[in-house]
Amino acid sequence: MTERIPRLGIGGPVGSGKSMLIEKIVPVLAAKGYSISIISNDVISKEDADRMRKNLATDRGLLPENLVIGIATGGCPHTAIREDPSINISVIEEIEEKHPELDLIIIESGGDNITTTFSPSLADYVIYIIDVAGGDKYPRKGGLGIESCDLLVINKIDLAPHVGADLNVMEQDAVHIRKDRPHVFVNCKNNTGINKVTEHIIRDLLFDIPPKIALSDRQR
Amino acid sequence: MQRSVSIVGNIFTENGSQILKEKIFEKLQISRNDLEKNRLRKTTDKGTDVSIILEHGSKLHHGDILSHDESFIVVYQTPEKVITVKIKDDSFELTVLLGHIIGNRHRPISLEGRTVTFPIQAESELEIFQRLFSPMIGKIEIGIEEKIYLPDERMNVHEH
Repeated sequence: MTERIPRLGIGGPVGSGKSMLIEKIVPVLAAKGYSISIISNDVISKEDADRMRKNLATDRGLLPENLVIGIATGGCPHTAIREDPSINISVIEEIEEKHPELDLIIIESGGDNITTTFSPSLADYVIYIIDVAGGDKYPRKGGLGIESCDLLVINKIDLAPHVGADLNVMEQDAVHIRKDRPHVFVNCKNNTGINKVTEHIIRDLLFDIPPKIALSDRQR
Repeated sequence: MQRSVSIVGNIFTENGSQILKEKIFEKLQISRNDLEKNRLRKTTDKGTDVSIILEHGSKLHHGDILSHDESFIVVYQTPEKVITVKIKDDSFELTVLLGHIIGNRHRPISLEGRTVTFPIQAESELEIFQRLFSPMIGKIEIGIEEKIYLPDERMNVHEH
């Protein structure tokens, strides 16, 4: 059986911290030896891809520059990850052909609202990220993105006291609405919760399988 | 301990029922959304940690039998809320309007006789669909059920 490279979809509203989350989890995964490519979907700009390429590839050398790819969808980015993910799939298939050594492909996309989801043909595991500044009612509002994702990340918890958000309420609502599915409270600014997120990725998406190329071999 | 499994049959086929004859098996509850995935890690009702990797293009189905060595696991799809709409007459206009409204909501559908069924996330959606269907409300019967929903493969879009 030809096994495709595991694909992680990261979705969430504009400004929720998707790119920042990627900039935090990639170094942790890279330190464990995992080889990663990143695809960033946006409407007309490639700003997020350019930023991640500079911060993760150019400045830190955690992955090759050509493996951070920006896609300007020209329309709603959520359409390019759900109804018609053909653009993303064609880019991924090209990556898979040229770089079979990769352990993980991350696909990032903004969505217009809380119903953003990834087509199962595109992503094997989905993180939906929201931020505390949206108010503590956010998790209980539900919607496909919040309810059906594999991992709900609640970001910017440091802002809770400043916006009057009660993290206990968000915790209870997340448990209630997502039943047995996990969630993690995160502050990307000081790395709170980042290790928990990567643990979920390694366990539930990568199945605890070690990197294809061991870190020791890579460093020779 | 994590176990890799493969599909060896389905309990709703004659062959599948033979596979499980007099065998003890574990149950794996999976949502319709997760059944669409090629790669999945889940825990059975007996606590067995299961990892599933399927061929590209294939998917799990309600009743699939998974095997690892001599042990078996049966996949059970989680029931979900659906709206059923029964059409009372053969009006072409009514049928097209109904399809247009449901299609605009990007819902998968299943058809049985004069009844179309589609999934919802919460019962509160009934109100909005009653409003959307108001021009035809006297010609349809609308209700909510909770069931194992099997969409028509030709009309299985990813809803939002």
